[in-house]
Amino acid sequence: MLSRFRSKILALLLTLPVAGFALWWYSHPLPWFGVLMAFISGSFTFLIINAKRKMSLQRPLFIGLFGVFLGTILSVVYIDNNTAAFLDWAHRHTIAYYRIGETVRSTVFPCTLTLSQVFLGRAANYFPSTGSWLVSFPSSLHAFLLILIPFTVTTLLFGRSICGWICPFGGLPEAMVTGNKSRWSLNFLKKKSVVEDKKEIEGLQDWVKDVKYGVLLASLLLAVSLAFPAVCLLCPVFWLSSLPVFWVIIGLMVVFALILPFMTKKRWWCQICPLGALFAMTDKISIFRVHMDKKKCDRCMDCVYECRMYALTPEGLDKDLKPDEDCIRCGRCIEVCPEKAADLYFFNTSVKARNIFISLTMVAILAWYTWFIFILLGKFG
Amino acid sequence: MLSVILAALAMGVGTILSCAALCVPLVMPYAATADRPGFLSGAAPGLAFSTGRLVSYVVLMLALFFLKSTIRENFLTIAIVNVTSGLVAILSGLFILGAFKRFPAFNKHYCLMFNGTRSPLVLGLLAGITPCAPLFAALAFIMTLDSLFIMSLFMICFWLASTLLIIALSSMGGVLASLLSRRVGLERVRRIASIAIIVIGLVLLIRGLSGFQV
Repeated sequence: MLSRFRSKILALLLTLPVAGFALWWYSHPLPWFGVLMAFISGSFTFLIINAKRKMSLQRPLFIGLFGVFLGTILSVVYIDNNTAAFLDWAHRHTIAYYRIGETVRSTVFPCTLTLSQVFLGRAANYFPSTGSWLVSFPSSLHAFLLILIPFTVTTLLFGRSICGWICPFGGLPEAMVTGNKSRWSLNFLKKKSVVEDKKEIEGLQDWVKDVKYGVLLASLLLAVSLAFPAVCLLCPVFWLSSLPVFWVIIGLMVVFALILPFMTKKRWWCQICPLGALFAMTDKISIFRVHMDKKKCDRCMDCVYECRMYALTPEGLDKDLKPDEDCIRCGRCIEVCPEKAADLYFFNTSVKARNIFISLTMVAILAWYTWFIFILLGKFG
Repeated sequence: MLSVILAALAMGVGTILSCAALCVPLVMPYAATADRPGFLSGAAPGLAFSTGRLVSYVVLMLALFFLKSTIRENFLTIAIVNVTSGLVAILSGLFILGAFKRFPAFNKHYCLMFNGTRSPLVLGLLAGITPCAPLFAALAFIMTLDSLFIMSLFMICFWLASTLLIIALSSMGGVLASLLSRRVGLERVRRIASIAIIVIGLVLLIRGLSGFQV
């Protein structure tokens, strides 16, 4: 009874900062909206921290974020009734958050042109008509810091857990991974290992794991050659700017985010994403890390079967009882473990951090999705 | 003659931002796929690529000299060059990745065709006939020259200046790959570089097929 009371108090303590942030962040220019967002995000944080199976709430949240993202794009394209209007609109609002027709004080959302001044690719622009090059840097130190700091902080704080909780694209493959029965084996992409009790475990071949790094390297090199910011590869404005690009992206999404996740129950989109590769490279310095308790783990391999990123392998468990750099901190292994051996910790310590992680993630989601939420509010509100 | 050499060198250096930016990404991953990556092995694909470009430049120059007319490269030629470059890069990346091991006949055939620095050489040949603003400027300049010797001198100086950066960056790629291979393993560096080559090949292919809308 006392422990339940204590856990509720702890959940409340972790909820208050989330609700407070939502109130401060969303109350300008509509105070009632700040109150509403504080209530929604606060209640949800309290519920998810208290939930026995956090996945049951995390999954709808994650899929819902994809819904917000998709709804935003479709609303702008279809309400304005053409893609050119969307591109015009996007280029007009590259600096700041869009708040019902006005730009406001917070410059946080990374839009294409602002980003291009920071990231590799538009350091120099070639003008074929005059045959000249214009070297451009961030328009001001202020703009540079306002874009770079949130990016860096989010990446360092969350690492690849962005792919498991915050990424707007991740919700689509997550939604497609329904049921437990895998219909396609895709053996040519897998390596199999047999563990103690003759159980056969499937992992990904090394080259498949490296595809995302190859795509990242190619993106960076092409960014230099085509004078194009690599990060724009993941931007809907870029997708809609050209018909061939649009169909290539749609094709990739259909195969890697719809068909393969549905047929195999794994997240294949994240295996080719260059941004995911970048996040994976920060794994060694990430604050929140999953690992297993050596005394409790009985090598049942339930976590390995459950992992949708192929981040857990028998070899990895034998070596250091933790997943590889592809771990997205979704918490599936934590909830499936019958011995309660897996958990999320601060660095490599034994201090459990899952509730604090969820609370911080909610703050990050509230901050990063402002752009989408206010566009939707502007279109339908 | 000095003015011709200086003009050629200046025009060649001028390609560093545009042409070299297009060529370096194509060569850099090859620098990382050597058996023992390092400064010299990194320079090899850069040199092979540049040699390919030189051959193309010489062909273009001779054509100009003998035909005495401006070479017009139409849209279809550019598209074909891009599609071919894309296919060469994709096949080359797949070969390094070991995708053809299951098909010994094809593997052997491909090995004879594009092994070692042959792929960068072919890509260099194709890149040499891909039009870019500095190349057109150089071709326009040699149209004003009468002697084949002066024209050749101009083209060689132009090529030398434009090649320096490619070879330097390619060597740097080799050194970088060597450093990385100590940390993550040579096999992995080769694998990642070959996947990058395939992706770049795919982009070239799509660019060619889509009529440069990408």
